[in-house]
Amino acid sequence: MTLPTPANPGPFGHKQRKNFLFDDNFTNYNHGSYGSFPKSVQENLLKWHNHAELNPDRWVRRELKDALAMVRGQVAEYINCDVDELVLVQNTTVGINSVMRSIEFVPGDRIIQLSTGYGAVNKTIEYICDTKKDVKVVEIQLVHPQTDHEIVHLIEKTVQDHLAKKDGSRFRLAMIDWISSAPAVVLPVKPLTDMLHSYGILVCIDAAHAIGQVPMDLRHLNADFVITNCHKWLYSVRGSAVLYVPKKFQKDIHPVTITAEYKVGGFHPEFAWVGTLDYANMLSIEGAFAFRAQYGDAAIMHYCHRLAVEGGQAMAQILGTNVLTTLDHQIGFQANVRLPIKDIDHSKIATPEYLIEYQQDKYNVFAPLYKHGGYFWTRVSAQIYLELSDFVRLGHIMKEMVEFKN
Amino acid sequence: MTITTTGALPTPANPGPFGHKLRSQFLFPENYTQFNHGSFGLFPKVEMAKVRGQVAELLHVDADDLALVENTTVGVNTVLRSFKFAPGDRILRLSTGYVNVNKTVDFVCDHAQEVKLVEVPITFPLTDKEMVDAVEKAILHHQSLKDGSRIRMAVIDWISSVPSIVQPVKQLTELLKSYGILVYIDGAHTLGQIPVDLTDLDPDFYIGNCHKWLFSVRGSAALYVKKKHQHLIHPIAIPSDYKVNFASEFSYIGAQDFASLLSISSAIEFRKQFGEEAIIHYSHQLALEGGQLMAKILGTNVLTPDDHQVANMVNVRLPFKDLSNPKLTSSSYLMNLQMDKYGIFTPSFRHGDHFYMRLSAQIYLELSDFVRLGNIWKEIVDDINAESP
Repeated sequence: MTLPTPANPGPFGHKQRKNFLFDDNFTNYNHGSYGSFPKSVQENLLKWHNHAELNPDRWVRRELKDALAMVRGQVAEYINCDVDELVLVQNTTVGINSVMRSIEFVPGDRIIQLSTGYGAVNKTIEYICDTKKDVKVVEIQLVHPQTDHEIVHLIEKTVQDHLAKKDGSRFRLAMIDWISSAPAVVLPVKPLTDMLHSYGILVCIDAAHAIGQVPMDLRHLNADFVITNCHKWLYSVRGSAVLYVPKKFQKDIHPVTITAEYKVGGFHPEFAWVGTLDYANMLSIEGAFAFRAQYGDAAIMHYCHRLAVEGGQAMAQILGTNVLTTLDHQIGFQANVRLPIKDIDHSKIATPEYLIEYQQDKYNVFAPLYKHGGYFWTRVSAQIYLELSDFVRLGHIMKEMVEFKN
Repeated sequence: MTITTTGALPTPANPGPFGHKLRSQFLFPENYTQFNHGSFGLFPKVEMAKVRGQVAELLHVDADDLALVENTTVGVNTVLRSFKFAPGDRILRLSTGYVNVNKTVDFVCDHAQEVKLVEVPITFPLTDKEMVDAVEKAILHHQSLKDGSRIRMAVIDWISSVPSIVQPVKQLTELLKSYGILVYIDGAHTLGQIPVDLTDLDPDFYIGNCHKWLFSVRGSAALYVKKKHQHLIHPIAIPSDYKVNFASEFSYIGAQDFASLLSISSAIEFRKQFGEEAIIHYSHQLALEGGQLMAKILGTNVLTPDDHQVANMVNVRLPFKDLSNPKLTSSSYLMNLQMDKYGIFTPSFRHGDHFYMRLSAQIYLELSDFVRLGNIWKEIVDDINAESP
């Protein structure tokens, strides 16, 4: 069986648009930020949502817990961990805060973060440092392109240099992306986890982008905490993510919202009900798996990955530039393409916000723009509803925009 | 749609646009009657629009002092877990506080150095004056300890949950502030049930659910933080806008489906068809009359001696003979019995030496519904009492 490719899309490409909910004249180049979901997932969401209204007390008091456990079981099987090591949360930011605000950091603790870490995550670390005595962050500057080996070495060197200082502080935890946001690069999480563990450092993996984009095997990875958004690449509705906490840490990790189960039920009851919400969003994960099962994960992943690689190359060719990394395993479904903006320090034109507004107003497209390593880049998300021609079109749009601004 | 030609407000005897004819605008199946609106709320099917300004208008506050959050538990955790409590601080709460709120206070005390609880034991029925006196007594008692600690913040219900009593928040707020204590009002049940004027009340913090009595979708609530405290208060999930300013920090706290928050607008639109006054008047009257009616069927009484302590919820005493009966001490027996045998649900609970049920009146209910409910509970009580010698 051959898997779909941009040249031979099979069930994918523009024919998928009818399964999704986009405006007729809108092409979504930025699935990576907030995800999107097909109609069948929306129907699944409404099934749960409407069912709740038939009889709210029966739903909340008798049915909800089992429904959430069912969905948790589906995710646990998909990412290879025990169902009891997973809880559902609204998004990665909530999951990260649940972990970081529960850990009892003590004076002298140091936290590793990468310069490419997501904004809200690094801000959460800043908050921890602001509110705990003598807990500080050590930021490692990561500038791509780098090989996996170089990335591991860079982080290990930081750890070793710090140990050599012998100042009484110690690295307590490292926050590592599985796939960073801007730029979008797949990091070598397994070698990193093993290396950090060898120094006794806890490893928290911000896997926001991972589920549905790269195969995940948490048993094999053996990290200490993992958080991933189902509403990005898995196709569930916004407000559905999972937090992985191995059993040995569960008694210490509490939700960001404390409820009746605190010191009563323990980890799972504490996370099962975090106050009144429309839990349909989390339950739509069921619909997401059903949608994917029609095509199979291998087909979806193969198509999107190839499209990101070929689409990125096509755009780079049109722009006369390059993509950020050519290492195939560092690319998921997103391409980072350099924009040849002449004066990148121009105070007005070369700010991402300005260019973002410009592209939206003039072309009705949105692709994140950001600076990295002294250059301007755009990040484009491949998806099953896109084809190579969409990347060619975007390449021309970007070329026109850059030439105009230059 | 006008109320009546004479302009009189709807009552159970003259429901006007309310009562069973309104059921079609809600989402219940044909044969289900909702008596427990108070727990999780409900919402009508209409379109969406913008929100925060509308809610600010309802609460009589500046929109910049409001944050939209998912629910009261989130609002309470937001304030209590980001506020900088210092060693020696005490947090005052009432024994009748909502369980999630009280647990959050426990959590803060467990995880902050030398921060402890002062709990005021409250057993209803109490008049407003008795309640205020009880709280003042607790404050004075604490002062007499002279142990170097100070009561830093008090968390007070506006309308408690079980039992459901409207508390004298204005007098309590003034009392607490006179002792230099910060006041956090848990107004979970207030929006849409009673008029709320935060400019008049002037608490330091307030949280109110929109998805209970305002009719918006589950996962929509409003948190008020007085300007002078805003720099201290951060969301439970720290966002990219950390330390920019209060409004920015709370405007986006991670990817979620904002439909719930946006539904607040359509809830307000729905209510405008009838007017706040009509909705509140009808539900309140129905609660009073429905409660009395049920008390009569059961041969008992309602918990509150003063009518102004009732909004849309009433606690009716259930004349169980033996409160130690496992069916009553079980957390699920009466719930399952109501749902499976009678297809309804109302919270029931022990308070003091008695057992009560809590009814919620709503614009989709009529007095006849409470006759039915009274008879159901009478049957339940008689059946269980028959087991005792």
